[in-house]
Amino acid sequence: MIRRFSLYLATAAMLVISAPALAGPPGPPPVNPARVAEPKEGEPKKVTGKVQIEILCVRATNTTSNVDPKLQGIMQHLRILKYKGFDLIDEHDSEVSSGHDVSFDIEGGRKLQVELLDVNDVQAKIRMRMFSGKGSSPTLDTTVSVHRNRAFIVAGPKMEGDDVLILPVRVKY
Amino acid sequence: MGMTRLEDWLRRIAEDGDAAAVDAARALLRTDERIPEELRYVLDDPEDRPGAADALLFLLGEGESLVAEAIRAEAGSAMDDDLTANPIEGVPVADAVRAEAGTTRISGAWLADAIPVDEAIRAEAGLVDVADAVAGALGFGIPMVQGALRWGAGAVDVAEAVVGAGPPVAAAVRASAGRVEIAASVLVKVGVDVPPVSHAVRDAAGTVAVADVVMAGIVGADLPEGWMAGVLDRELPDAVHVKAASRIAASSLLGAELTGLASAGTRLRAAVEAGAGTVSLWDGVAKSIGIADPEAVTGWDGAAVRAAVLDEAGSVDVVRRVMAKVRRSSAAPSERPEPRPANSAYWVAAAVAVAATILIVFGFSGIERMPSPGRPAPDMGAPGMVFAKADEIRVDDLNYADDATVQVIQEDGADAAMIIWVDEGKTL
Repeated sequence: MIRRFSLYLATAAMLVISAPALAGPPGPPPVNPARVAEPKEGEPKKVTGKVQIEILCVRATNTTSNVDPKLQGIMQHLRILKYKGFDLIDEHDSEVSSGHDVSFDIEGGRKLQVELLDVNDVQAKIRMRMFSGKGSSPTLDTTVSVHRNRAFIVAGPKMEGDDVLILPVRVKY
Repeated sequence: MGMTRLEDWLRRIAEDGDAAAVDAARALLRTDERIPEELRYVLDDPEDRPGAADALLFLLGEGESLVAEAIRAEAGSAMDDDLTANPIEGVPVADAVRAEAGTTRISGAWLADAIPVDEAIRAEAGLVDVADAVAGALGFGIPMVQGALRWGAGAVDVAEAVVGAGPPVAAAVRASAGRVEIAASVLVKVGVDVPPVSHAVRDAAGTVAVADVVMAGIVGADLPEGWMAGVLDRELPDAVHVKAASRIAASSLLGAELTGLASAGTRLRAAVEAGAGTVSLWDGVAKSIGIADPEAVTGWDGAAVRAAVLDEAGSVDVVRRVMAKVRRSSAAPSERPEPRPANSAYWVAAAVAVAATILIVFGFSGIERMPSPGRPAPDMGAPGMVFAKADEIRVDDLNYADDATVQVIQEDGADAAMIIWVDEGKTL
């Protein structure tokens, strides 16, 4: 009898304690560094402050079919590149404010410069230039408007052998 | 005796040169046993078919030899004057042979056993029955003349008569030539003078280069080398085969030699088969032609073939298929139930449950299930990356270096990502 009572007590405690969690979402999110300006009716809201630029450096190869476990979440997008093996060789993460740029040194002596042109509560507009290190003019100079917290991929710079560099880029705010 | 169909056809050919009769005559000739086998194909030669037909008729006992008629027509009854007036030195045939053979006097004794003049002249002139007379007049061997006369005249032994040029020879010629009234006078002069015979032969045979034929007979050049084997193997042309067969028929020595030659091949073949047995000759042949390894095949590489097959077929996993066929003979042993611990504390279970509940509750705040606008995505590394769909991203501007190529690729599907592909060092 005591045994049963103990079991019932434990179960009741579990239900009581977990009720708030099962009932709804958790508490307020962490502090958002980007303060949202008061928007006009129907227009995206301007965002001031800094955004976080996150870049992964992935080596794609056909000499092996090993896939870095850290890349499992994005493999569905990497498979279309017709490579067998993927290795996460570096990660870059930096904050940038609107009107400013940040540079990242990536494999092969290259440099990736990201300038935040504009940002609102829907999307961020960034200008990305990739320098191969051989000259002052960039190999790639593109301006992309990407939704908040979404990523895209820059790929193709060559590495040793027939390997190529894949750079998933995400703007977080 | 009545005429048979073959004789009719032959007479048409002999008298009229009837070409239509040739085919019929040839067909009948092939199966007529009265004709020697070697003569059954003489009509196949289009040259002088009338002469051949006439000769065949003579063999069949029908008609008269053209030569006999020619002799009678030419010689008539007034040949004595001609015969006496023309010594042997002036005989055209003798002169022709002498001109061909040179100044060498060919003695009859030397040529007695070897010169088939009768066959040669007969083959050229078409069974000229007086060939022996001509040959004798020219001073050739007596036995041949004897044989020829015997062949032409039947079983008349006129050898002595030929030598002595006496009346028996005349009788033989008469028997051969038919109603040759001047046979006696002609044959009297056989040893001295033969102008009528020469004329007769020439008239019957046409422009026969007797000298050539005689000379060919003298040196044996009328038949090709190895002619006897050619007779056995049927490799000789028809005309040559007839000539060779005639020569063999006339000589018992040649016949015996031919028989021995025919059987030699059989004996040789049997000996080789008995000796060789079932021996494979390839090894010896291969070595003789320079192949060191008779079993080797140039260009064949078994290892390369195996590697190519393996590369094409790939690895074959037989484990699954084998295990599917494997029958287990006994059931797997089931686990024995664990004994219940005697010192279990239910409080411990309750406490663990409570702790787990607390962990789950406070752990929710660290898990982001559905990111939404206004809330930053949790920093989860690559697994946390959400790629912009087609309506969530836009390329506003794109520039690249002259030595590079850039393509913007948009995946298909609900979770499609945009890829900006940069191909360095390559231009379109």
